Amino acid sequence: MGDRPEIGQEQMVRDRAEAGTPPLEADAWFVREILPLETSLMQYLARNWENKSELPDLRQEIYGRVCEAAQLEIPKSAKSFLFATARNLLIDLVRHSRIVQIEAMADLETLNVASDQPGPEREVSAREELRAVHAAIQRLPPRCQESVVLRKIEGLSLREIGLRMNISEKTVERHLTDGLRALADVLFGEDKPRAIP
Amino acid sequence: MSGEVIKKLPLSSDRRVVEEQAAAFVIARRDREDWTREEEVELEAWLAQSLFHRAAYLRFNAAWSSADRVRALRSSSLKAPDISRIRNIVMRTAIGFLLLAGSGFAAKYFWPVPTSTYETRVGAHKVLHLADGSEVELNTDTVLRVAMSGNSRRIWLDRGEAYFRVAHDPTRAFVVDMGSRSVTALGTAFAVRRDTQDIQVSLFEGRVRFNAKDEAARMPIDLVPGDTVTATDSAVTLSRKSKHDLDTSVSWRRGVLVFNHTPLSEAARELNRYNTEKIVIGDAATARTTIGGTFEATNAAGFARVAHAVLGLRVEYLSGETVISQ
Repeated sequence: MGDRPEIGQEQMVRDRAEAGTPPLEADAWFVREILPLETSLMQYLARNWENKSELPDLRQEIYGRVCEAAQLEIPKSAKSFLFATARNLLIDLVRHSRIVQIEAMADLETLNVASDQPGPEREVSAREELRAVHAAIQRLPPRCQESVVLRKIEGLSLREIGLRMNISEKTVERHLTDGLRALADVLFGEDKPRAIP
Repeated sequence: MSGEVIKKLPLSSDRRVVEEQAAAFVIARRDREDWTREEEVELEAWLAQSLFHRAAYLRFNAAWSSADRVRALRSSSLKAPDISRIRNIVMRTAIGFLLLAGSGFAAKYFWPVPTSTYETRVGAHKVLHLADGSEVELNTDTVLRVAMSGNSRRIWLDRGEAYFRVAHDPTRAFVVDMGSRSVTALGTAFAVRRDTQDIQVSLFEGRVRFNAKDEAARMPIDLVPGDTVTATDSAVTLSRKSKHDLDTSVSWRRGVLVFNHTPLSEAARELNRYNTEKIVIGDAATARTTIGGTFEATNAAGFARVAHAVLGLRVEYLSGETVISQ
């Protein structure tokens, strides 16, 4: 028989989740309430974190933590919960780093999330959104751009795109995957388009 | 964590790997035609592995959907070259046909269905209980016609504003027609407002599809809860509202109007929809003054009193009009 395996963290999350929010509801909440706050979140992180190249990593960590909490119970205010999670993560990271950056620490402790909350959620008109997506598509590498346009605008199938561009379906998928990653940043994260990393 | 030269943040997972996998899953699942059951199981397992996986997947999935939704308003500048001319014409014709069918062409001309008309006076508020279990709340000064048959549920909003709570019935679409625009719903809650030229559709629950039979937006737009489509005769725009703003937009269901930094000109226009005694703003500076608070929709006099007492404005009652000025 051997030792009972230790219950891993993920297992615990699942067990608790069974008693908590139905997963689809938590998913819908995340998409509806959290993703539209991404621009504000990234601005907040940029103000409070030195190394800008780490911001997407922080975002991912925060989203994971927010999702975990939502599986148990949907937080009452998405906005304050998101920013409290962000703040806690930053404090954890500062504490964890070997060189304790006293200054950064002091800043974070005094940082008042309530007063640092962004204004009303941005309302993006379809036209602005179209412009942002348009700009993002134009910045994609040429083959990637062509794949995205043929798929999303012209509605061709992967097979048709492959034939048209004389590449394999796998490669089309690859291009679309790259395109999607760039689009997600523009749609949720930023006001200005930027090149894919 | 094992022997990396580059110092990394002590985070739970490697973002690049997770994002790469999540985006690839979204594309494979949504765009490939040969997505298999085994792959679905594999995806489920990957999602169950970690909430970081789940969050990344949800984010990309939502982004890919947004990219779909802007296609609804495609601009000529984004068209891919050649090929699809013919395809487009074929598609447009097909869509035109569907719209014709959808607009009740068949129902109207081949199977006449009795139509009932409902109206509310200025300031009135009425709730209709339809035969299929759906509920329609009519706001002030609204004209609406209803035709129910065995295979369709059709509403024509000729004027005004209504909130719909649609009983679920997948076999009979629930269609609200507003001239050249329409909304199709299955089981859902949404509000529609029709002023002279402008139409606004806000979705509260479920799913609806907004259709336009004109140049402004040829492709249908699928709304998700929180979305508002605003259509003028020349443009169609889609925006998202917070839950709070959405609820505020139908505060008329409780008989009140909620203003928040609303210019007096706009507040007066709203109140005038509910009152025969109209409020007139006397000068430009007053029109720009903003007001906040909750007001009884049919109590224009109460509103004028607040403007006088709180904003220190002059209120005069002239033949059937209340003039507010500095």
